[in-house]
Amino acid sequence: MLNAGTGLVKKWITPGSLTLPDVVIYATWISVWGRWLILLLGVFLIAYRPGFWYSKDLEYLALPVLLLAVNCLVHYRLLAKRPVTQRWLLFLSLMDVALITAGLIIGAGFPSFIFLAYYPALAMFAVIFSSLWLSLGWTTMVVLATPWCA
Amino acid sequence: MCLTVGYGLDLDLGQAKVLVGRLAVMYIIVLGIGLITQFERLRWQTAVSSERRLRRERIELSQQIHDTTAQTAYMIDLGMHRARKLASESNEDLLAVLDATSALSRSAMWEMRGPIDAGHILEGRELVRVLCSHCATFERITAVPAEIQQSGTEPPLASEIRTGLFSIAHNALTNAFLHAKPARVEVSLNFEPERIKLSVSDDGVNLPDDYADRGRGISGMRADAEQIGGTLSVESANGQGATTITCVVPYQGVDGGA
Repeated sequence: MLNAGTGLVKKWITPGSLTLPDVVIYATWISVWGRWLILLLGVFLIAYRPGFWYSKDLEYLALPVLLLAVNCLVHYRLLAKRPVTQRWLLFLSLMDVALITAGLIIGAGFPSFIFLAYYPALAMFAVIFSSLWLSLGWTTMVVLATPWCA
Repeated sequence: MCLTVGYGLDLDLGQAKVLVGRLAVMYIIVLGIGLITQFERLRWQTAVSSERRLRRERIELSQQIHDTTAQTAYMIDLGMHRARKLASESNEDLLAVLDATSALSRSAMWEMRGPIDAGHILEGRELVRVLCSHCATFERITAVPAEIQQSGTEPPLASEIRTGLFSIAHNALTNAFLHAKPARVEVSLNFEPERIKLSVSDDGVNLPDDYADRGRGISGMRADAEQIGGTLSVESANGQGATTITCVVPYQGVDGGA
């Protein structure tokens, strides 16, 4: 009964196309390259500020480094043609949101420019998973996480 | 005026408006992109299902040809052989007609093997396996020994690549059978680290100098090769009676599923 219920929920939230291994790999490639681009832009925005070498900003640097390490790992798995599943995609998206939220908590809260990083992260999620209900649910989760960013 | 959200996010009215605005933008972005991707996914699924239906129809058609027309052509050929045995040796005209008709029926039988074996490719069989059976059929129909040589292991190839290479091999064998009158033919399939190389050689009559302008065999093969990102070359040794048709397809962008 529980398994049937889980299956039903999984079917409801998982786009049919993501059940094909080729599509998951394709989506992961998009996700990895999208993350590289956002990472580069983020590093540029942090480094371009005149007061970059404040001790607090160094804490910021740990976040893109963590993102870089995980993205490297996934990129390596793709290049080595190792299996990549939906769970990897979900994990990457969760990590995006977690790191952005951590950045806001460390920094100035929601008025910080880091808040803007939620937009590409959510947009990438919507492109990769292409399930409207799942994307809206994911957005609601991010919205509910906002109070912790004070 | 102050708004408290969740765990201690105290905002004045201006900040609250900004926050609500930012959160609303999140939903707008996700809704917009979600709708676009869903629409695109629907289009993709429609295209995929349409392609699958076409593929299934082609497989069914190849099965129908095998079960009906090809069997009939085979029976006609058997009848020709029987008629030739019964015909008097003195009636040379009749023998000539029977021989010509038998050659035509064998030609028809061979031509029909193209779509029949292409159906096996679409079913997902390996190219090497299909070409082996195709060469055996060639030998049985034409009585010309056909040998197949393979080096390397066949990687998973997209059906377009396997279909294209199969079509080239079939047309090269057809050309050899119809025009070269060879004593033997050889098909070689090399899976090299960077490319796939398919060659079909015969020891029959040379191609004429203006072969490119005659018929559509070579130009059709060249079009097949270009369609799968490869190149086709034709070597016809002058006076030595040997023709080799070679197709080379680089692996870049080749790998894929059935």
